[in-house]
Amino acid sequence: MAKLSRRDFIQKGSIGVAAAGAMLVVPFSGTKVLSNIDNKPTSNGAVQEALKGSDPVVIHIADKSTGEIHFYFGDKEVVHTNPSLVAQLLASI
Amino acid sequence: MSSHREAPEISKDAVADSTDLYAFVSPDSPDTVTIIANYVPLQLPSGGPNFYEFGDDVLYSINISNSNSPETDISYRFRFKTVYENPNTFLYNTGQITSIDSPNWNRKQFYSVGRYDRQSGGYTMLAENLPCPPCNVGPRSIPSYAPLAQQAVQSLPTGEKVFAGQRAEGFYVDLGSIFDLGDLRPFQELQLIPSAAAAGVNATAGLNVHTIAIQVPISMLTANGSMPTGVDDPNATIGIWTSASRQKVRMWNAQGGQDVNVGPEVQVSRLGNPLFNEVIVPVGMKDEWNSLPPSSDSQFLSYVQTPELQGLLPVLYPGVFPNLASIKGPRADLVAILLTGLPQGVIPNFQNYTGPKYADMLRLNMAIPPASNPSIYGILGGDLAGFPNGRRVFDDVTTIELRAIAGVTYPLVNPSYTPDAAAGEIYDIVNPSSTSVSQLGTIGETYMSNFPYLGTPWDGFDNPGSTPQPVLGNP
Repeated sequence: MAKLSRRDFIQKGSIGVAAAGAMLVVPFSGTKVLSNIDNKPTSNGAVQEALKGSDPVVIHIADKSTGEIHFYFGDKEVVHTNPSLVAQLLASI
Repeated sequence: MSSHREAPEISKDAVADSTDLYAFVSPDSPDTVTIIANYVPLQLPSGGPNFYEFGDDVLYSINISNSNSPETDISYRFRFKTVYENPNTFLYNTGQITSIDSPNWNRKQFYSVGRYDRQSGGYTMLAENLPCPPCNVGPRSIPSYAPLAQQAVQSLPTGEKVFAGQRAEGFYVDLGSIFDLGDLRPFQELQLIPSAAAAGVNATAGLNVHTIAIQVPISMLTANGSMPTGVDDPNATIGIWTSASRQKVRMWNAQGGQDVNVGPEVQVSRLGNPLFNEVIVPVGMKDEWNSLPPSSDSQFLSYVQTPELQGLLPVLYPGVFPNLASIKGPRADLVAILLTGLPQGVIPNFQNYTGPKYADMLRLNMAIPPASNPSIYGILGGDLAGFPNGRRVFDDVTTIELRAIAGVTYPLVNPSYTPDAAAGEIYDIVNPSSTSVSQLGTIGETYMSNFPYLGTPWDGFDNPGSTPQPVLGNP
C-alpha cells in the first residue's frame, strides 16, 4: 500500500464530521485514550470534563468495516470501536 | 539550515520546519551548555508586511537524553502566542519601536517555557508571557535593534537563560551549487558536467532565522545532578534533538477565517545531527522520519551504512574518488558518528557514546571544555570541542560531513583504508586555509561571543532582496 502523507490521510479515505460543541456519550470499554505529547493515561473523568466545554469535537470514522471511530477534542483523542454507532452516523448523512 | 525544507511535507510548513540544532559548552560560561534550535528557514529580511514569527499552534521542544539511551529524559517546551495592539491596521508597527514593549509594535509575540523531567515524572512551567523581540524591519522602525533584542534575553529563577526570536542565519552553505547535481564550485572543473572552478557562494548570506536558545547549568542536564568528573564519565554525554508538534486535526477556516486545531500533539519535524534527513534519508521516507522519535532510527541504519552520496561522488567526479568507489562494506564510522556516538579508544581523549541503540541525536560530551582556538572543522581539525561533539554555530558541518562521507573517517574503523587525496581537500565555501572563526570574513560577522551567540538579524531596509542583479543561467 502506498504511503500516505499526513495531509492525505486527513483529507481522503475516511469521513470526517465536525460537530461544534457536541456531547457524545459512548461506552469506554475497548477504548483507547490518547492525550498530550507524553501520551499519559487519561481518566474517563478527565475526558468527560473536557467534553463539557464549548470547544469543537471532531469525529473521524477511520474504518467503516470495523467501526473504528476517533473522537478529537481539546488535546484528547479517544479511539473507540462501535460498528452500530458508525452505522447510525453514516445512515444519518 | 542544515535541515531546511528537507522533507516534502515540512517544506510546506515553515513555522514548524526545524532548520538547525546547535549544542555546545558555553565558551563564556563553561559550567553551562547552550542549546539552540532554529526554525522558520530562509527569511528574507524585507519579508513584510507580516514578517516572520513562531507558530502559535506549534509546540517546540528541545529534547535531551542523559541516560545513554535515545529516550527523552528532559524536554524544554515552548509555546507562543501572538497579540495585536491594533487589529484595525495593516501595519506591523505604527511608529518607531524603541523598547520591547513599545505600543508602536503592533504584532507582538510572547512565549511560555516549561521543563519535563522523566526522573521526577512531571512537567513544570518555568515562565510565561516572555517577550520575543520584533523582526528587524529597518532603521526607521527600529533605530537601535541590538540592545532592544537583548531585552528578550531572560534569566529564569530556576537557573536557565532563554531567548526566542529572530536572529541572523548562522549556517553557511552553497545551496545553489550543491543541489545542482552535487556541484562544488571550487572543484567544478572536475565535475561530470564541468565548468571553470569558482569560489563557493554562501546562499544564506543576508538571511534570517527564528531562534530558540536556552543556556542550562550542566548539573541540571546530567542524570546524577553533578558536573561530569571527566571525559569518560558516563554522565558526561547527552543526546539532543529538537522537535515540533502540531495537534492532530486541523479544521481550516472553521471560525471566522481562523483555523481550529483539536486533538493530541503529533510530531511533524525533528532534527539531531545536521543534514541527516537532508542527505541520508531517501525522499520517500523523509516525512515518516520527521514523525518518529530518534529511538526508531534503527530502520534507517542501512542509509547510514551505505549513504547514497558515497555512491554518487565517484560518478559526479570521475577519477577523483577511486578509493571511495572501492569501499564495499558498511560505513561503521558514519554509524558511530551519527547514530551511536564514538566510543572510548577511537579518538584519543574523546568519547560521546550513548549506547548501542541507533538514534540520530546530536551528542555532546560536556566534560570537554570550549576550545581556546576553535577550528571550524571540529574534530576533523583536531578540535575536540567541535562537531560531531555537539555543534557550535560556526562549525563547517557541510564540509565536515562531505569529507566524512568521502572517506576521511573510514580509517577509524578500517585502518588499512587510505582515503583519496580529494576526500581531505574538498570544501563547500570556506577555503581550508581558513580554519579559525576569525578568518570567516562576512560569515563570521553573523556570530556573537555571548548568548544567544547568533548575531543581530539583518534589517529589511538595508537588505531588500536576495540578489541585486539576478541571472538566468538556463534560458
